[in-house]
Amino acid sequence: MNKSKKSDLLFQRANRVIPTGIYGHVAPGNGLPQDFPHYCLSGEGCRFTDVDGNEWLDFMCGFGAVLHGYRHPTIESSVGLQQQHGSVFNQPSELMVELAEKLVEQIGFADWAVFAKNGSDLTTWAIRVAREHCGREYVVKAKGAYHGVDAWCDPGIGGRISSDRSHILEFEWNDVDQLELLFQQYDGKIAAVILTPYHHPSYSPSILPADSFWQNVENLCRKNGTALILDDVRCGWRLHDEGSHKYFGFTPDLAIYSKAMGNGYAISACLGSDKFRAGASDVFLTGSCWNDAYAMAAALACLKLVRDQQTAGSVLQKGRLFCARLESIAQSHGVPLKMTGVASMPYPWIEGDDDLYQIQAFCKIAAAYGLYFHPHHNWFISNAMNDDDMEHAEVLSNKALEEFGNEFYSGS
Amino acid sequence: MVNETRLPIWAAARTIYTCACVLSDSNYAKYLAPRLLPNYKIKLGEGLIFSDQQFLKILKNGFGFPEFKSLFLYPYRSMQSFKQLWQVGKLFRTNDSEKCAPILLHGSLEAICTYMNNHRKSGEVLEAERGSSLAVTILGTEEIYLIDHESKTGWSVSSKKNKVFASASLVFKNHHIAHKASLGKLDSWVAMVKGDILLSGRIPLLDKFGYIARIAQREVPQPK
Repeated sequence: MNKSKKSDLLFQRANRVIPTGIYGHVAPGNGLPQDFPHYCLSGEGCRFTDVDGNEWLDFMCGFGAVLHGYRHPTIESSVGLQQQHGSVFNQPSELMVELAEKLVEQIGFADWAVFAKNGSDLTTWAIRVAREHCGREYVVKAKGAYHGVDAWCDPGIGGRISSDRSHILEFEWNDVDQLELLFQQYDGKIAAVILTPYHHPSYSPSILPADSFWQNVENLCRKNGTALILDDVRCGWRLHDEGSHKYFGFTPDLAIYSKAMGNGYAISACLGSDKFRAGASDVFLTGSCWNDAYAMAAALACLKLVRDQQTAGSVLQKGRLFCARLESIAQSHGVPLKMTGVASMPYPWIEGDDDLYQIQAFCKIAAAYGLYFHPHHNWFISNAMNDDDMEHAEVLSNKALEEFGNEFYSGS
Repeated sequence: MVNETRLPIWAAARTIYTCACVLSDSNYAKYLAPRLLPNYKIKLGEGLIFSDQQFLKILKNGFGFPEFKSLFLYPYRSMQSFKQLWQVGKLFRTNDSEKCAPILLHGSLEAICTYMNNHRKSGEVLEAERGSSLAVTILGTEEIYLIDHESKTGWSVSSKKNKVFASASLVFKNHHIAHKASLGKLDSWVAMVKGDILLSGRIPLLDKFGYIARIAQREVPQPK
């Protein structure tokens, strides 16, 4: 898997007309620029082909945007039907109403839904709704958590002014005492606490909520009249078919979904309880293609698939099997690899490898075998992955781990 | 902390001084040791004093007028300073990458460290990184340029021959690439993809370092 000529040439072309060639989480420095392709040609199920014709067994699923596999026939056919009518009109299509109804029906706590194109659109909108509802300014988030590309939360460095985060407070994930202290220090001033279902930062292992973490957070929010916002953009439909709050047993006031919602068709949704309806009505929301009916058709098909196939349970089970096998293979080669976080979106961590040299080396070797394992970001298990794919992934992983173990752990 | 308006000049002077130290194979190039003086003046070594504007002219045009008083009071030292300035300037004009890349690389890393210590935004960006270190090398050479932080001196770059452990590593594929990078002529994004530079270890540290390096590259004038 060393053919990358066309991909590299495309990158050089891109770099002339696109700052940094590719940006965001697939910018060259964030992955393995010499080992990962820069451009893709096609995808099918749990595999994709890059522009040089290399086929990859995929563990990133469009960085989470694809849950049911690339080009899922049911989803594509729903989109195909809508294509006979069109995508964006002056007014939304009927699909928007249907989609809101289905979401409200499926996500228990919700009484309404609004739509946009990306997670960031609605994490930012949701905190404004909370501010409008509570008449307060401060928002609390977990340190190191990603909630999108807007200045109040983006992980980048440039283009920021001090006021961007002057009303954002942070606490360490799982440290409820610290959160409680913030509530005391900013008594009556905190509009919202926004959190992901569990802590899945880049470049470090994922951390699950400690026992009663969510209950404590929920209690603190209720006690202080603060909105509890769930950023379910990455985890949505990967932990529980009815929203990740069900998996961890709590109730948010507002929740944001995107990624898996459209299986590659750009759509996001914010769902909320009746209490926040007035606030939602007064915070402006729109976008150039916000009512895109193709994406809504895809989302409706996805919701049906999730319900019919119990997708969350399925990817969790596949993830558990794969993670257990991978850890065991690693152990057999003397490699202390742990798959952290939730099994449907595990983050790989090699004990003692705080500076990431080893995981980078392992993922480079894996890439040579056609495994798209990311060294810095949680992986995603595709529901299109079947037993044969799993077995194939295990065989390739065994080769990669053997090679890696010989290089790094041969004396142990 | 250096006044940010004078930071480009200070970083350029530090670069020149570092290059002179490496050229003379010592830790001290006494005729170019820079000191910022009040009233927008800069002193090189024990004699030569320039206004910031004239020093900028030296960097940009290859010549600027020092204060006459310093020339008359210390004619020998001043001539030595000019001689070393000319020698360092030559490094920026030569194409001999094998010879000049290690010196210029060390010098340009010094400029970046100067920003890491004195540029407000850079300081904020690096606040959580004080226990981290970065190793910069040219593939196939023994020299390792280690950037790390100490509470007394702040961020600094030092040259090592022995293997060191660093939180992150930046390797230039060869002297030519390191030379281009030192002169600010390397497109780092394309270089990463082509394998001309290899990054490994703690990528967030490299991100921050790259951000500050690009600021320094934009602002610090290079000697002609």
